[in-house]
Amino acid sequence: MTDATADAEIVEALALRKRTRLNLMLIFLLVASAGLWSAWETDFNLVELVKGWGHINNLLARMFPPDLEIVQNLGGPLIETLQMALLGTTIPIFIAIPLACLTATNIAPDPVLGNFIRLVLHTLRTVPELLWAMLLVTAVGLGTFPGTMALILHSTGSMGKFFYETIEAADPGVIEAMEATGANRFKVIMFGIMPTVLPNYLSIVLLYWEFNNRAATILGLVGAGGIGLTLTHAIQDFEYTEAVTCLIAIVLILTVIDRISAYLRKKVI
Amino acid sequence: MIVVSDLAKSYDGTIYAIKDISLTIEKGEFTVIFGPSGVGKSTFLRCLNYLVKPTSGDVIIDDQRVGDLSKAELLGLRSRVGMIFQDFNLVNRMSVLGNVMCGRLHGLSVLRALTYSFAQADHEAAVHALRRAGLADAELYNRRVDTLSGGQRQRVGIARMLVQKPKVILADEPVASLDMKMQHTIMRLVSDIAAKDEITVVMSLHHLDLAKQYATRIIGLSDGRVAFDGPPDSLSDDIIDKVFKMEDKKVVGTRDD
Repeated sequence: MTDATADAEIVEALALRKRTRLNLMLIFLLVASAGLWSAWETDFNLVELVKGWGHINNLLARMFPPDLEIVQNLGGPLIETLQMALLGTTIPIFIAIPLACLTATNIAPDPVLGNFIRLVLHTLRTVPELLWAMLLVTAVGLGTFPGTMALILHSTGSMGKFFYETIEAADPGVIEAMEATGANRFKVIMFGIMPTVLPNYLSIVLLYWEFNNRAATILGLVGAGGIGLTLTHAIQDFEYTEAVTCLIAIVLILTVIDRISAYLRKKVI
Repeated sequence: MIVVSDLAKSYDGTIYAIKDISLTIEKGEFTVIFGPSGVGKSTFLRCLNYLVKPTSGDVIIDDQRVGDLSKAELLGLRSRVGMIFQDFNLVNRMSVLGNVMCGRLHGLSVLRALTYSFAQADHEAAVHALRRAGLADAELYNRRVDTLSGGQRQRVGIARMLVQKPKVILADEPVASLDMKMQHTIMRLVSDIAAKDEITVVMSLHHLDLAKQYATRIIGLSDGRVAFDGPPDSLSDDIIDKVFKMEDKKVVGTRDD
């Protein structure tokens, strides 16, 4: 290699580096201006936070010390919340698995039905559970039932998607081997697919159990029961020392659940 | 007896993986479908039990025209046709016994399928089949199959096929994933079982040496058509050169790869 070609290569390499840097800079500018535009349009202003410092201080002062006397009244709503999350996670399993089997492209009996189910699942998970709860409270009245139903609807849509995607990734060779023994579709699913996807399913279910516990705590906001309802009442009645006790209880219980879920997930994988 | 007439399969409607295949395989024959990979061997095997539905032509197994069977009758026919595979196609997370009993799925009731419980007779048949397949060590039976060696896994695959009490064995490159010594062990095992039980074997292979050593009849495929059909010793190097020289130029859509 002569010095001249070596020089040419170096020039080329340096030019490439410059172009890469320029591109990165452009991307950064683009994202930054999009951020600034959004902040401008949405009146995002940290100065307000500083200006309101007095009010915040005031609020914090009214929150402390937390009112521990209401702890005995929190047990009921707290358990109610956990029960809603438990039902909202377990019932969807029995709905989502059959639906996933009917829509997973590698085993679905009918493509039209499969596409229709996909659309239903998509709709179920696109509507946030809080919105489902609002609609259901309007339809069936206040209480934990609309809250649980909201969790069930949203989780069915979300878990169903993960379930059918897992089935679609299953080994086609095993499915074929089961078909070759003269097994019908149901047995192919039970023996050729379920044993393989089960660990993934447990992991997905645990994830949604965590998610539903978090979601269940705020469903009370729209009157759908649980600890969220107690919290909402406390805030509406300006009982901030009670509200903060609720918040502490929520954080504690969710931390415990995250730990349990993480432990179980580690066990199944 | 298997009668195949004018069998053809195209996956996309233009390129044919197999075409114009007509032949009769007598009961008890050990037939090897020979040819390079991508030539349509796997497609041919799967057309026999309609795992792949032929585009045209007929398959008749034991006087039953497979294309005319109802859904339930087809499942019944498949339960009498055992199949083994290159990659064994076992359920990795299931035990050796569980995998073997999958060969009995056809007769399993819905309730038993739902609870994964097989009858005592199925357990006994599985143990019997495992012994015949050369896995006599009971310590292995409750192990997950993904803890076994390749040769042991193919033995499990053979046992799964044996509990079907098959009249026909379809074998798709059953030794391609095994080392040389194990290749012969498995080939001998399959050919001994087939000879003893008078089972018809249709096996795809791309190793000529193995084909010549174990087959009673070799059918050479080239470009999806029968290019050679005869006893192993009539397949000379000359014929091989002549029949398979074109293979590299052909592009054939198949499931082989």
